[in-house]
Amino acid sequence: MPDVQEVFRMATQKVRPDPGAMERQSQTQRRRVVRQRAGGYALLAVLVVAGAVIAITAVGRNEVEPASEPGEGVAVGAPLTVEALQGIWFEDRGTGRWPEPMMARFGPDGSFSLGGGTAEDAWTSGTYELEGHTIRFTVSGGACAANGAVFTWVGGIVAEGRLETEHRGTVDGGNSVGNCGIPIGEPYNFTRVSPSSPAAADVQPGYFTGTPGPISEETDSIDLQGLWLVEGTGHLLQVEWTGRYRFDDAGQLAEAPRDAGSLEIGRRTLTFTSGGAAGCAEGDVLVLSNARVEDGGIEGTVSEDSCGRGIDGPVRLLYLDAVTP
Amino acid sequence: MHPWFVQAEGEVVEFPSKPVEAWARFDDFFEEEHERLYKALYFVTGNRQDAEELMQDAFLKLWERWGEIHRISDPVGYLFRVALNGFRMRRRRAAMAIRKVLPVAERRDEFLDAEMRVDVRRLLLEVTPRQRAALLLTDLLGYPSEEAARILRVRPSTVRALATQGRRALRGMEGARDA
Repeated sequence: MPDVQEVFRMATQKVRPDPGAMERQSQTQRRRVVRQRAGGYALLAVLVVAGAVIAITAVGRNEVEPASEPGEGVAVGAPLTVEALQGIWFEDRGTGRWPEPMMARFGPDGSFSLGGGTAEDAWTSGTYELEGHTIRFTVSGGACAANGAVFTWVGGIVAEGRLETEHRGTVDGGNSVGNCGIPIGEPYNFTRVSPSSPAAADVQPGYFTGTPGPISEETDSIDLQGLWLVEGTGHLLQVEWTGRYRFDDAGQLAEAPRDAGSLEIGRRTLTFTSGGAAGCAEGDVLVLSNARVEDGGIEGTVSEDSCGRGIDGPVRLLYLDAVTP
Repeated sequence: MHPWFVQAEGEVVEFPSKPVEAWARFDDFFEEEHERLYKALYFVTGNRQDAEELMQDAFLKLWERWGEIHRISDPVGYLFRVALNGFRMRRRRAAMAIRKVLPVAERRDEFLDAEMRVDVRRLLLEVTPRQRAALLLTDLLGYPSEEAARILRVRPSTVRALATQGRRALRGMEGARDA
């Protein structure tokens, strides 16, 4: 009996992609870029028109906001403490076709990651120390390949859940952190999204570009992969392309999520089944019914929550990742 | 513009998209993996055109995420997962079209290449595309039935059943190897 390996070899030994596969792939990619740009220009036109309407309205009412000064607010506010920093922070730096959110995580154990909500997707990660309004980062990992680098930010907590900081470069006077160059003086205005903060009510990124409509059996975890915030709560949900998920509302998504398990996608339904993480029993489920992609996020109703996360009724998931699924 | 940049050989390139550098590496990745993926998809679909289209779609999806490739722990696994997900969705759309009694464009090319031995062709046509997908995932790519089930969106027991049926069909073609 031929085994599968042998059948595969026999069936495909003379089968090869037609010549020019790379060129055809490049053409497909170019067509996709053109379509995306066309969509971007259309969106830009809408925004310009909307902005013009708003500006004209504001001028008419003589209510123009005063412009903020560069660096304003830095080194003001409450001095930094581990307690005040602990959690996952988000800055919506969205501009243009490719929005670029910035994530920062400060752990209670003195660990940090910048650029992503977890150490695995961080640009830099390592440990931090605080002194007054200064955060001193010592890098030991991340995509910037900056292991050993030490750089500082200066800033303060200007309101509950709001952190304003400014990059002050490395301790040896440079602005580069490994392979990543950050202009000295670059401001960051973060909002704490987990644990929940009052400031997080303003987070409305809407990056998700999934086709509006009900979640269906055709939806794959690849389509949903990324970091999501349950609007109005401190619950962060991280979906991996493999269908694994992590769920947490205490700013510990990276280190000790309250829940972790597997996601099952059905017709209008997302079912999260716990694998038995710290806060939930194995087999606990959270069911999001009537799930649909709408307005750059996912809307639905929590119809079952056997773990008791405190989420009930209609919810909206906001997509915090930069890359569109 | 994003404030974080990657500096490479004196040039400042926006991070994390790294367009020039990433493009070159994507090309390398394509060159390295596309034939293997194409063969796998041909094995499952039995159709060169479907295999090519599914392959292109899968690489396109990966290319769109290439700026964050470091976040994908297993890019090859990701690629095969996307491709087989595309295969599953195509089959589902075709099944729905049939249910709606709409004409479905049929592209019959199922292992009809002149260069393939008749016995191998007969053998493969005895195995359904779903069975071939299950065999590909479990016997060729080495996924456990739970992971294969996740990719094919069926129960693990269904994957095991499909793979068993596929192997049984192969056993029924005793002698193909020696023909």
